Amino acid sequence: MQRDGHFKGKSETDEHPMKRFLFLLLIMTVLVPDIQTQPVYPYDSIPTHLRTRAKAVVRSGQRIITLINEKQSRLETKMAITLLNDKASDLLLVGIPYDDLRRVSSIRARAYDASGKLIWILKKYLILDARDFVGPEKLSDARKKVFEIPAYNYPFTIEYSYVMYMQDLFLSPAAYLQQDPEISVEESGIQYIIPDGSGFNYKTLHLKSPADSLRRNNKLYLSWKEENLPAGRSRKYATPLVNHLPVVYGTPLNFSLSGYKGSFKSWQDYGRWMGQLISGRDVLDMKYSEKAIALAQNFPERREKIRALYEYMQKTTHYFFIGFGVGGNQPIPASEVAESGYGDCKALSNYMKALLKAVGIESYYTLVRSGERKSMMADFPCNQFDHVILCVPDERDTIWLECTDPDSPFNYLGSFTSDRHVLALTPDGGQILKTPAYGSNVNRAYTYSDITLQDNGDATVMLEIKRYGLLHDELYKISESKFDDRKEWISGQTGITAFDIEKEEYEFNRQEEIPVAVGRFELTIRDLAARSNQMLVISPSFVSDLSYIDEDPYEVELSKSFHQNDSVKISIPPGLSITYLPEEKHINSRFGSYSSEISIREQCIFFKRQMNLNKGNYPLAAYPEFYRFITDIVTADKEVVVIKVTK
Amino acid sequence: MCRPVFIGVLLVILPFRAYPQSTHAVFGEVTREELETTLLPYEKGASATLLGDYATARMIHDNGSRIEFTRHLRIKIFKSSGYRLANIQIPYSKNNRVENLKAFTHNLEDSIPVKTAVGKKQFFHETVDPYHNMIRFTFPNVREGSVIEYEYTTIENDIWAYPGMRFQRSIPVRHLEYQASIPEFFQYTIYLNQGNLFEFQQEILKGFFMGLPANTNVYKWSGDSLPAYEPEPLMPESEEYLAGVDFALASVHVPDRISYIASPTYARLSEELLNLSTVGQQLNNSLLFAGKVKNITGHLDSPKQKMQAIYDHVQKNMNWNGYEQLWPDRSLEKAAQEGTGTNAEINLILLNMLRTAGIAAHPVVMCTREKGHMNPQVALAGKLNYLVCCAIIDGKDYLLDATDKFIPAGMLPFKCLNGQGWVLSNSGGRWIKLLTQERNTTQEYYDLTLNEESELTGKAIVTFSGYDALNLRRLVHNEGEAGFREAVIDRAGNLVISNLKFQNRDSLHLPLRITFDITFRHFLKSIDQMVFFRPLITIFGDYRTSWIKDTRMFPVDMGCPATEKLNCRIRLPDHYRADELPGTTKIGLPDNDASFLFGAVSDNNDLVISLELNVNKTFFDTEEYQSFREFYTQVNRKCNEMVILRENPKPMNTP
Repeated sequence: MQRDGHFKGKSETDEHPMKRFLFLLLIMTVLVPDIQTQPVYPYDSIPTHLRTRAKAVVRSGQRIITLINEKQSRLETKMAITLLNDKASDLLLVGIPYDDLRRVSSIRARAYDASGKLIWILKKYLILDARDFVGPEKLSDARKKVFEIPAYNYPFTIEYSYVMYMQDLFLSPAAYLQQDPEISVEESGIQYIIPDGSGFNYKTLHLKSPADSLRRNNKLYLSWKEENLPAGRSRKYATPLVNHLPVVYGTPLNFSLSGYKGSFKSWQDYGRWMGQLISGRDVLDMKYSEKAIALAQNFPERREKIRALYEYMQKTTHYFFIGFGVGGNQPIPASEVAESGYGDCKALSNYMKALLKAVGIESYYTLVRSGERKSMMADFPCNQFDHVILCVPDERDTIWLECTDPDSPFNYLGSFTSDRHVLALTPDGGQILKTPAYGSNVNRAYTYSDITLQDNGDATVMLEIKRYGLLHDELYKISESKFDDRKEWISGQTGITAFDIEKEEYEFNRQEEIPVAVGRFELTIRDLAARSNQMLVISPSFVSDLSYIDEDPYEVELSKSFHQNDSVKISIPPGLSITYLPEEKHINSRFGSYSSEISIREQCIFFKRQMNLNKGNYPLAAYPEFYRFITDIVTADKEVVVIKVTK
Repeated sequence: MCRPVFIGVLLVILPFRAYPQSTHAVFGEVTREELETTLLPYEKGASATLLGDYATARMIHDNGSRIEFTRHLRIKIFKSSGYRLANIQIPYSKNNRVENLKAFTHNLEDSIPVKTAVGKKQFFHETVDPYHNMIRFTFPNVREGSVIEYEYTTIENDIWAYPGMRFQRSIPVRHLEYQASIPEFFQYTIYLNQGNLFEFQQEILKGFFMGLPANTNVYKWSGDSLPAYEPEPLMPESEEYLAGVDFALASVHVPDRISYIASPTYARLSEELLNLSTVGQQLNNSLLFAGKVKNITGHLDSPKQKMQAIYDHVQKNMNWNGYEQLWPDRSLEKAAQEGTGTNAEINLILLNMLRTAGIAAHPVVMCTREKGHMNPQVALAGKLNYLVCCAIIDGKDYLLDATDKFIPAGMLPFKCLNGQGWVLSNSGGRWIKLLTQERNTTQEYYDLTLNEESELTGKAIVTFSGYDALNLRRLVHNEGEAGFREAVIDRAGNLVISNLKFQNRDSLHLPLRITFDITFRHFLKSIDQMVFFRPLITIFGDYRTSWIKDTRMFPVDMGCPATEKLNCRIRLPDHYRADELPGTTKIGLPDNDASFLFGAVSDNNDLVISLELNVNKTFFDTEEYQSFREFYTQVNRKCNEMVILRENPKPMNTP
């Protein structure tokens, strides 16, 4: 699936924070005199806890956003960062992104050594104007002002400021007070200046301090300031750190872009505004609508008509993003997509909508905040979207169509769009809907292994891997990859490294709404069992073992429920006898469950392992329990069978 | 087979061959066969294949000599995952031009061939930055089975940049041809790699260039049925290893007009850089940093101490700005003043200071690993990209690069381990080996006790030298002990580590040494009266590298030899005895290219396990890969044998 900046504001909401970093808009609060009287941002004054794990420290980040009118805002930003070591060298290349809706001016930059002495000033001719490249499949007016700061002895401090006029503030409401979990913050603030009579809404997340508000000269000054935010550490079963960063969402209530006036008073209103942008673009030329009608005619059932048109769209288009100015937020008309066969998520969803419309089926253009573990805030109308899908109301159930992936099964949403709130543009304006969640009854992983063990510890294995729902994606992708990548993948899945693939085959069913992928492998494995003169030792759960986690507590998030089921049959060579079999294990907790069973029948060991994980967010206090749960599973997975070698 | 072959300046013509008929497909005319073709055996799994790449380069004279480069590519898309190939980018520098761009998509619709042109408006012209432009477009109506093709001409105004051609691509290639025409006034060194993968033909055409009678050499390479290339672990970093051809301007000689040497001999290069450049003349200027040198070395006697002191000073005070450079283009004082500079600036400041202190020192020029091999005869234009300093004390060479804060004097950055470099000196110069005595060494020593909970607990001493030490020092410096633990130790399984101490953190010339208390949990299996485990008790060791690929397209290039050593002593409780130990073993490759030693002995309640792995050779060619891989398989086999301990041992049976 391809996601694109449905809105230009994407860089502030959804990209990796490093890219956003340069976007921080800060206030010039103190003018540094040219003849320095005292040190500026000396390294020594950074509190120790802010140096831990950080590659850099934001000494001061300030920005002022002034709402001028419905069409335009002004941002003033000033940022001072002390770079602690060469891991921060990427911050020396500063790029300030802009486009046709934004204008950058007054760029200044300086550098100070560790003691706080001025060592460098940016000269204007060193600022280059360059394209902001987002990928070979994306064309837009995105550009940036770029300059490079020399690498001085670490630690040293860089400081820069600029002013930006923007017509699209309402598209990028998010202002992060910490941009990157690897960069700690001594002080970071934002201020909105709102003329009386202009509506303004805000919402904050993960902030320690409340807003400060002041009314003066017919203006409202709303400010936030955060201090002493340390760098973080990412953990295996935790929410990504970026999801915990402090952020202010501030949005003007009324706005106007290229003559399209809109409002965030309600989702309905915003949906109506977006509706204006797409209105009239879902009409196909006669020859294409006739084609759609002809295609659909073959299927009497409504659902089958939709499926046929969806598959036709998938077969005849490919993803390519073109966005300039307001066009970055507006789909290319459906008739042009029909002609050229390409478009971005907006264009392709709108084209799909047009195909359905041609046969009299209504559907809704639907805005999504995409990405694993992400969702829009349904309680706060503001722009949070970076992707578009199509929602087709159906009497049985709603049908969801991802239009940028030629391989996506019909009515299937991957982990980038499933299980979240979305904004559908209905004839009455925007309406919040929820995309389906695929639970552990859908996300299932099965393996069947039939192992023939030899007395030197080598084995031949018939391995079948079967995956359903969200778990099928990976196997599907891997089947398309090169031999070495497939071999690496099997190695990663099973933990075995010394093996050859004798045979492999794949099978998929992506026609159903719960897609399934199957891989069948015949492997010869060296040293599957550890060996000595008197015995062989084999771990029957080698196919899916977890690894240990450490004891330091954190807040656990399991992002999806899933069910894993492994069956293993091990045939041992004649003449060898089994001297030790592990006991059955049953582990239950709120996080999930685990069970294993083992038995022997005629020179064969039968082993069954089942594991369920339950999606959820778990508080810090639950960690010791989680640690025990995982450790118990790993310990159970490490159980072995001992086979006596009699010679 | 994989080393590039320098065919030198191709002037001597071998027996004349009839010039082959071009198989060039006609642009815009795709055959039904191409529209209906399916994957060929060598294309298995490919999402697209290059049906044809037809490229022609020739020199033209139009208000200066230029290169006209025409290219026609035709691609067959098999699967939707190949759609990315329909997104085209043609980059070119501001001084150049792109002309005659045309593009078509060909489909079979109801078994009728249909062709769609890319409209003029669908070509987007981008200004990348003040020096570069790009044309971008995507093909319309692309679907599985489409054939897409495009054609364009670039006018390259820089005769130093005669276009090269890669014959191996990330998708399979069915047919590729490249014809390069060069008038005799221009001599290029042509270097080929994996020339066995493609055909070569040559002829001479008589004609005129710049209004003068001139022979033109026409080279033609063509290749068929080339499988897709994919990167392999530890393959050489240079693109040169892909099959292909490259050109480097050697000299220009237009009778009575222009004559110069572009790729001089190394002796000539020494002369040019040392005596004819501004910076070259600064190297002997002992006034430049006289005060500093005096401060740093005034109190020292031996030249070696002086060298170390000067190196430490430059390493500490000069900061590398990330740029690799062969020769500075600004004065050394300027860089010194700013405290930041390129490798060339930093290392020549170092050189000047060494000379000022009375130590013989010379610049060394080289290609870094990603640039590929250095031509043994001439300094190929555009290939040399790096400079370090060589100090000579008592007849011994010390290679110095002060750009990295964690490299000791006498060791070069890993990217420099690329064969030989050339020492520039007024007497002409000489070759020097870039890898000196460096070796990545990790030595682990554990003194452990088997406790009642079946855990191994005790003390550890681990030392690192070579590039491992360098990387760990940087890690500890940047991320502290916490970062070190998270990056290195926590990943190693279920261990409890305390009392972690670092030694020699700042003494770069000594091995980095760490000591800690350790408990290995869940490491042993204890069943009935028996305890068993695999003897590989290691946190840092890299014994079980497994080479997953069956065969290699490219050599294995380790850069630097390596040693891993493990010594582990385990004290057993009184009532335990070692019941079975894996036998002592030595595994090796011929010529001691690699070796592995395993030993396990027990004496009453003491058990000692020792392992040593040496990889002495750094470059294994594709033919040597099988035995190299087998070596590791054997090592893995050995590490899979168990140690068995028994409580209250019964009398031993016969063996």
